[in-house]
Amino acid sequence: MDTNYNRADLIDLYLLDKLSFQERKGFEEEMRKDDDLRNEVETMRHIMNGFQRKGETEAMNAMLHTSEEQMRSIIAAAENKHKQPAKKMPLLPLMIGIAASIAIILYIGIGSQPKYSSEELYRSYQHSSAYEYMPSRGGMLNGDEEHQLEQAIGRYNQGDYAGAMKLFVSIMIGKGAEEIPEEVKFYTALCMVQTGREQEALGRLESIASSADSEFRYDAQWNLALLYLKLDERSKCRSLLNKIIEDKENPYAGEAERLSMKLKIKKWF
Amino acid sequence: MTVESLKYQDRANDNTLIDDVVANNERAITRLYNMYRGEFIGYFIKEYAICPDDAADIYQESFLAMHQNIVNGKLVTINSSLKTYLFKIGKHKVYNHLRDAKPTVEWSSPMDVDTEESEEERIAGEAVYEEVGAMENPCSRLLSLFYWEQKSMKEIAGMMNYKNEQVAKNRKSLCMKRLKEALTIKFREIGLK
Repeated sequence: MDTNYNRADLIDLYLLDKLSFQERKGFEEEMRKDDDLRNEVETMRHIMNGFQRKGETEAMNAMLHTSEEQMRSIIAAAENKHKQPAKKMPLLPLMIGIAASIAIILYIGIGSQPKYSSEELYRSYQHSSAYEYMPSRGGMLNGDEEHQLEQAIGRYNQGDYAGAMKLFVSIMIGKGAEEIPEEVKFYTALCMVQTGREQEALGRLESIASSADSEFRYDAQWNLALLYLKLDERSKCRSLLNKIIEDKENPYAGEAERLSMKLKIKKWF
Repeated sequence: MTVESLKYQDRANDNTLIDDVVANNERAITRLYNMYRGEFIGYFIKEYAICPDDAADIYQESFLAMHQNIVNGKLVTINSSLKTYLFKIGKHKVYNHLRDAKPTVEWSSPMDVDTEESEEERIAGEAVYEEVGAMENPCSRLLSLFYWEQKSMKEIAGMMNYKNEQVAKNRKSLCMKRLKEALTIKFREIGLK
């Protein structure tokens, strides 16, 4: 099984019946021993049933407005697709084997110099996240401020960090720290990273990353690891990446594993 | 613009709207059809030893029968699931198929056994369904694509214009967190754990 899966991924795979027979047996054994896991699986089962019911209701309503003739036509089209020959799969296992061999050779390469500089790695990973506006929680912002938040995130995604920063700051005016929504604190920190205010961003990201209640803590942890990289603090970066990898709930675990591997690779010559 | 050209414009707009509705209906029905086809055919091949072609034919007939029952008002609301209903129809059709193929054999008619869920399970299921229905986009669409249409994260990233798979995964994680928090509050309100 891919070790990059976190706990939520495994529960999904189990409930969607995508685990192998052995993996399924192993997971069910874990469930027998772990009450929390069992309860999580039950909750997810209800949620999946909820989406199934929603999808079925939509289909039922669609069928109510569809004639028998149209139904037969839809079924015929669907059956035609099932009769099409399967596409050939690429030689994936061989390619993976070759890539793994090369990775091992590079990993045990001669010399003490890292293959990838902090700057190189930062530049290649820092574009991996783009954000999408979602209404803020807790009713902390009024209608105008929600609109400003949406505009600010849009500007951030377009690379206008100074413009985004101005909007985030205007949302924060007159508010105490506990009145500022988490997303505003988080995005402000990201803008600071992009506009040369890395030291200010450090404190903010560290605070969100260590807050168990924040819904941005995983994003903050990942971006903090990238910031350490930008500041060439490789050991702090590695240490945080290890924490991210070990946290079964963290959706960045896969990315963290890949970045951590690259940090370890030494130059061959 | 003349009155005639405006009327034509209105009719063209109406036709576009109707086309959209028809296309959406087709998509929803096709989704449902494909969702249960594999499992249905596999089940009846295994349990009743019928050939795959016969199983596929029975699936199509069962699906059409389900459609007829919806249109003529025999099936108005789903108590368990459409999948369970479809399988029930399938069992009766398979029984008729086997009886016609081998009339000298005494086939026992299928029993419709409904699995009983506890009252607590039923209330929990209703509460979850309400919260799922109340979700807004983008979370509603993203989670429907994953849990109902069973699209991969890569496919979802493409369909929702996310930069890459990791962004889609992050959004899903955030949406799930919010849904679970809403459910925790709802369960507490109705006295469930």
